[in-house]
Amino acid sequence: MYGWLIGSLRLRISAMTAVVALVLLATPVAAQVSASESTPVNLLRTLGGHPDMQGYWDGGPANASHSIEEGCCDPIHAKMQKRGADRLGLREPLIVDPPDGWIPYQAWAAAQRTEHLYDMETPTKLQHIDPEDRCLLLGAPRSNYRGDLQILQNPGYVVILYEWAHAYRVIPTDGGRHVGEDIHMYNGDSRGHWEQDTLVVDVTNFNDQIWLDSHGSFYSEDLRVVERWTLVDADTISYEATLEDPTVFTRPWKIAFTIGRIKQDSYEFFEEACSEGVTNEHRLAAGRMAVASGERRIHSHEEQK
Amino acid sequence: MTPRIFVAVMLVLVTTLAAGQTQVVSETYSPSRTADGQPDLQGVWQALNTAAWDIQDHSAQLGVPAGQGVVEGTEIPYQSWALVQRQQNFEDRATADPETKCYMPGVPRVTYMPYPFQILQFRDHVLILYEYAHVTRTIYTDGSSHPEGHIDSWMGDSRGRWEGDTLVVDVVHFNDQTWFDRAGNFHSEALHVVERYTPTGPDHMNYEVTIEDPKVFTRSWQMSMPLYRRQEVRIQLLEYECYAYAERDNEGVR
Repeated sequence: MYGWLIGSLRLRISAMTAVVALVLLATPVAAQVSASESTPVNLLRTLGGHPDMQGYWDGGPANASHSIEEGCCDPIHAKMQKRGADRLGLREPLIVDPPDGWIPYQAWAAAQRTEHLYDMETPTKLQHIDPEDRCLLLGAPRSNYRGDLQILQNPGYVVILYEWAHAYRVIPTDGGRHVGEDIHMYNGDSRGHWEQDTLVVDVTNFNDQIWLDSHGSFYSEDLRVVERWTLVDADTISYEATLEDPTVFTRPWKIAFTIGRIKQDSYEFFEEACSEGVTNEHRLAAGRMAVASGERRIHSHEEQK
Repeated sequence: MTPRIFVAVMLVLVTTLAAGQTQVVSETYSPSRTADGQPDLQGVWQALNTAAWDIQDHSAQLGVPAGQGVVEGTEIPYQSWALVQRQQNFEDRATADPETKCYMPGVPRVTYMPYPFQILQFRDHVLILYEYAHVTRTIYTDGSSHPEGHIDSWMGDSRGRWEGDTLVVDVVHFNDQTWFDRAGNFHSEALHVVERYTPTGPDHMNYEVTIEDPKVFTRSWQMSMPLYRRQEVRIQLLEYECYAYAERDNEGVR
């Protein structure tokens, strides 16, 4: 109770400080906003003058994490999850370039991806199972269409927290360089900068353990992702990511989608423990039995119709 | 007194008085402030001791550096049954220690594991990101209370407040699956932790922890240790994805 009282008093002091700070800062910030003609004047801004994207967001489009090319799901899967027609497939294409909406794999990589579609259906090794089902960090861009996220901004960095397996990214915006090229990470190494009102994040230093979706879409350690986060109105972020990997793809390609704000009051993330409870023993056992009896089969949305 | 120091001192005085506290601020060190006026604890920190192996006094063994305990008064006041359990845990530690399963390590253990963590501050919360297993803690400082429970969680529910320059964090809603160290010191889901982070210099903090668990201990007890700011110019958190490395070795079988 005493603690609560102190908290309450402190809250009021913080509010007073904030009012004073706002009065002090209102003039220069307003001047900065009106100086840029292309800037929507109604965007909230941080003390640094950048668009204020802070808060909780609902992540990318439904089904994208199942397949960024086709969405989700096969009829049996859909029935199990009580998915309506609006939750099948993709409402709009995620891959905006190339215009056909398919990942531009090199020939060897297309063959590898087909192997993944067989292996994930009848897994005999752990690596055959979607990294999401193994609770691994999903990197960029997949984390952004896997579930809710929270954006935080302070001078010098932007932080993104993901509810999925309590993942996080710290994105320095101080102009520093990436970590050394021999360091490889599931989430990669993120460096951001502001291009007018767009947060541009360059992500490198990936490892080759993660898929872009549950369809085995993959990349190598040479992946470079450039993300563009633009607040288009108070409750909408336009997100774009260009993926370049000369080892796996024939050319750079691009995904785009919008992210909507979660407006629920007093929203907080739960602790989403994942690896603490996961086991893939039974899937491996089933996959090994299937392969041993000559029933290796490809994952498909068609065959079970 | 430079204007900057004067402002800092005034802020401390105003904050202390406004919070209804009468104690005199006698610390000689006054930390810099965030834009919101909070003592600025931001940066990458790490403990430098042997508490990860054993929070009590212990001799060296192969792979275990000797160490002086971080427990105030040396002894942990276990109930008699719990002391037996603790001994059993110690004997079984090679397989029974939750760390060997890569579980989230709980509080306060996550603080003194040999990995860095980063403190970030915002108007209404403090965020701590840990390199170990990408654990995160959001410590709400907005006056909100713990949600009703009991809620089982690995890292507990953290609600904080500033007492002068000290960040005081109250943590409840734990599960009974984590230990305090690799030596088998343990708790139940009734664990209640109060952490106090007090800056003692630009690169040092004092970390004090009060442990309360009426199911396991006869009374509350305390730990205390310094925390050190990592000095490398380009220090940043990397990844220690414990579970991912373990699954590769054991085919996903625990």
